[in-house]
Amino acid sequence: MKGKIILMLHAHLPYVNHPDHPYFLEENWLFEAITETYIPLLMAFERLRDENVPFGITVSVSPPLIEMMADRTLMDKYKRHLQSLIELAKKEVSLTKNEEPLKHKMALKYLEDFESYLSFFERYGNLINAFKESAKDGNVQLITCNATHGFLPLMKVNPRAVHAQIAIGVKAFEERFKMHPNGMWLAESGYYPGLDNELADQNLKFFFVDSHALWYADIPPHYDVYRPVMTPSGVFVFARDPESSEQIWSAQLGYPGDWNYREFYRDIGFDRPFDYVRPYIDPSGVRTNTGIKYHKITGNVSLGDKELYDPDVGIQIALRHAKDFAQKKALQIKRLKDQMGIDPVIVAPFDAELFGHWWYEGPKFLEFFLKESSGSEIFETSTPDRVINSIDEVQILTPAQSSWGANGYNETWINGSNDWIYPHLHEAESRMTELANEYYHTSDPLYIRALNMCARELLLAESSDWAFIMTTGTSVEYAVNRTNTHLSRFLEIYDAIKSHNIDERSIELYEWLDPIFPYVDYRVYA
Amino acid sequence: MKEEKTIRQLKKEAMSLRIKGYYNMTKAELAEAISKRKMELAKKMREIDKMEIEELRGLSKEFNLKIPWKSTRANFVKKLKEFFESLKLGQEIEKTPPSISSMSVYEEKITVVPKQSLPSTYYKDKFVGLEVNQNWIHFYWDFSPQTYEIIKNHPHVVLRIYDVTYIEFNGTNAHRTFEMEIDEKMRKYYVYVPQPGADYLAEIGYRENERFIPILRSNLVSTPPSMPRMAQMELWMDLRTKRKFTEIGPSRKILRIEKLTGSASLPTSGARSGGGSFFFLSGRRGS
Repeated sequence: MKGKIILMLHAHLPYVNHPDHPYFLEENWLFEAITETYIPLLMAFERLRDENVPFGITVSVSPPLIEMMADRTLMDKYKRHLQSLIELAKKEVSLTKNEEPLKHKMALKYLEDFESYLSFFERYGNLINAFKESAKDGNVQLITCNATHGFLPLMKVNPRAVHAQIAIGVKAFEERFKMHPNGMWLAESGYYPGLDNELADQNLKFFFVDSHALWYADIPPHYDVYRPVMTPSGVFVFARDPESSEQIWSAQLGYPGDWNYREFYRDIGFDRPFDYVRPYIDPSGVRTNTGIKYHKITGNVSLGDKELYDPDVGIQIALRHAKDFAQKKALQIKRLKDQMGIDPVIVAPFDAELFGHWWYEGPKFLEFFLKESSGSEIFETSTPDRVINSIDEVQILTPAQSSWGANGYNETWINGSNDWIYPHLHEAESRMTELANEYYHTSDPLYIRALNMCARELLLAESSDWAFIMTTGTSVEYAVNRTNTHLSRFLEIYDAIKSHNIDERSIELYEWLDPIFPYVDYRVYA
Repeated sequence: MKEEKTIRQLKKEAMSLRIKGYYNMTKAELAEAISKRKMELAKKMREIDKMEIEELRGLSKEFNLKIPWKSTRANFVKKLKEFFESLKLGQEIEKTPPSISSMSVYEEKITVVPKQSLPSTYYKDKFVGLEVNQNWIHFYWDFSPQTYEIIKNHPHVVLRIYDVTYIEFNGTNAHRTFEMEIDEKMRKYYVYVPQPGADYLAEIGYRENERFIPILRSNLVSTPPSMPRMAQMELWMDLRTKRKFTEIGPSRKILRIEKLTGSASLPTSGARSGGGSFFFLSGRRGS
């Protein structure tokens, strides 16, 4: 038998959808992630399948992402965005003919890639289909995440709100993918003892935790983090291997920092003459990234001193890194197997957007790694479903409260920059449960619409992303606005319901503005 | 009168009129933008009969009216007119835009409250503890008017914390009891507690003649453990038979070497990689 490596990519972005605006800066988060991460990854999986390479990888597709990918208006916007990117790449191809050859080479590559992304997108019609297709043969296992990526350890004072996050997370996946997810990625790996009961109730077979959830568990883990364990409620738990994360993640030591890789921050949105890039940046005239970048990391030099990127060199380095990573994993697995006397299971979770968006060569690295691993005698890449089916005995323990955030607990999501949100969130959560109990049996369609809208506004306000952004300090204003907007809308509709004064037009407006989870049922809060 | 609308109503209106950037506008800006936009749309409405089909399509798209692309010109005109009428633009043009002087009074009023006005209190007794990490707990509280009446008359408001790990707390049997005087108007505090992996309860009250009178009690707050626990026994399950069995004297198979942190001077907290890298590394907007 071989050791197992479970690569777990968490694909998530907060729900940003502004149908009331033809252009909205923050919608570009999604557009960039689709172009730079999701499509390149899906295309890599497709190539591996076509080449009959056996591999295993897990992708959690968060419900906000699922809902955005299912939104016609937003996806039409994406298509226009990609078309305009292609237009820009064409201009770049002709412009760079008279510039450095490396630039021209890269411009041609961008054009070719973007055009292939567009035809990929059009071939599937939408990305939901593309993800679903990738999971067909079991090499890619898709799982879900809690509804709007709410950070559950800070929600546990309202157990029904936690229940709703889990239940709607499962429902969203089932509604859109037409299949049951066996596992869930808990937002930010935020776990606390007892949460596993909720997961068991939703028929979820497994979830992921950070390493110290096992290290500080009620009973020490027999095999450290290198075998899945089971909670008393019967749910399997996979814990993060710190070694794998560090090799890839670390900004200084990890692979993505190689000087030959493409530089993220140097973008033609800032380099080209204003009138030329004008149609491809923020309509307000603020320069933004376009996605076309010609420079490499180069070293510890200022952005202005970066040298030109050579895509062929970038690819070679990615291949070398993939081989190196495979070698390191083989050594680690051999070492662990000697100590354990049983096949180790190594769990390496990452934010999916690291690959491609931040680390341009990341999807290639993964493809190379999966291919390289398929020839290994020592280990294979696998999925939780396959691992669970292969084990005979499992240790039962209760993991400790933990998250994968800075310092391992909750301080990223509750600190001086964002603690003001919790009194409001908690109040809204308890009012939601109050409404659900009070109107559980109502049959008035307008009340049902208003109650469901309350649930949507609450769920959107609960996204851990807003608190996270307030902590990190980029786009804070937007995060504050979103929190306030959804809470205000919640309170407004709550008041309208309680005073029996529901304005159908305003419900209609909110349904149009915040169309997430059209199938939501507020009774989940009762 | 237009000025009677709340900022929320104005935003809603701005939204339905597709005014760009309404999110960040002050009340005065909103009122002005709405009035300007309405005049602009009223002008468009008057010209609608003369518009080319492309322009009509553009307009219907802008307002997401979902008029089929291949509709006749007449149908576009009809639908757009209906829509514009529903916006009640007519009433708007008779009115003059709000004068600067009347708005500045408003500005003064709304700068007192935060830009977006969530209630500053829900007028309910509430006292909630949230663990921040293994040693810090965040508390926030809110008072009903009755409770506030009591508390405001006492100069020494006190926050008490009880370590009640494995205890059925009866008010006097805590392992340890901590207290500090607080300013109840802060409505929140972060407190340091010595024990990871412990259960804490807190009370807010006041001191009267050396006695502590509790008023509100918090939920139970469990600090996360931050070190390995001891155990006499491991619990296992045979997955084929679904039978549980135990192993005595846990034998850890792996010697884990833990990271030792240290430096010549006291370090600031190091940011470990983790959730939300998309924003963590985000260079957009001014970095």
